[in-house]
Amino acid sequence: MHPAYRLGAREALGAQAVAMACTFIAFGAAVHAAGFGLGWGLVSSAGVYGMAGQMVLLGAHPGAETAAVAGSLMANARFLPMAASLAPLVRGPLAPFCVPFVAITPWAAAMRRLPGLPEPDRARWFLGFGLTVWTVGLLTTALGHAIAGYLSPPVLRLLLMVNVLYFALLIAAGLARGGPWRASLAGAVAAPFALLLPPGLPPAWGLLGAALAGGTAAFLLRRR
Amino acid sequence: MGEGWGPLLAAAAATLLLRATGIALAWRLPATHPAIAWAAAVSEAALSAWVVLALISPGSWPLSARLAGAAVALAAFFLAGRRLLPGMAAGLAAIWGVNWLLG
Repeated sequence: MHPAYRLGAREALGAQAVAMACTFIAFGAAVHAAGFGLGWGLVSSAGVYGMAGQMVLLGAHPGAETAAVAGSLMANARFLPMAASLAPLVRGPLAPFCVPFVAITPWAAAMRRLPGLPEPDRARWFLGFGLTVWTVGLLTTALGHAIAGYLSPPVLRLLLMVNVLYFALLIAAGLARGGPWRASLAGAVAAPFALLLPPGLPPAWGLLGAALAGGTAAFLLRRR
Repeated sequence: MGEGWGPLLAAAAATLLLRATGIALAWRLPATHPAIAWAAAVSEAALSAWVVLALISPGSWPLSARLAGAAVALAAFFLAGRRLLPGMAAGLAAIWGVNWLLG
């Protein structure tokens, strides 16, 4: 195996794997509570592989199927710009294999790590990292489904906060290193406006609007 | 096929298409192209907006507990030499502790 695959896999087994595991354990338990089987939960984690969209799909009961699919897609719409921004870094014959692994955790790690790696190693690093955290997601979905009855509601709620803290710290670490502070700051400033959306509109619209407004503002300020 | 499988498979296919479209759109663009810079800015903004909304939206933990958790996590992260796991552990403990104090 090429050393870059191993490097990516090894670097995935840190705080990000812990954050992923906690979130997917909570998801596995939520799948159980919603009345879906283990197979359904595993296909969701493997195929959708975006927690916001996965949580929306838990409401895919008769009569709400179309709304659940649309809501899931909207909740994960950020994957499109994420994939576009990743493309120049993983370009080459291995890029198509990277597609299923474009999700927040691998993307955030890749955008911070790949520019410092030699170009031929980048897609391999991403595949090693992506496959590792994806596997962690599947294993912990199964674990969460199996132990759902043993997890108290406060523990489940706490598990869902792990990912929030992980990404908050990842952003802080990036800012401290002089990372993309304009975009991070603009997204954070735009976010509270999402709470002003009229009742009845899906929350995903608010997140999408904050991302587009904040990101575009940061981009325009950068261009000056 | 049982309940929920149709929407799940449709959503999985659509999400894969979303990812593939992003890669395909940027396939021939150089890394320095403004469209790539815009996509990266929107993605970074989406990440920080998601974190902020998770901290301030009405949710399963009191707002004060979540904000205290984030503040303690950040403090512990920097005090521990920018190590993520101590920061996350301290933040979780703070959320739990403040929630317990609030009764």
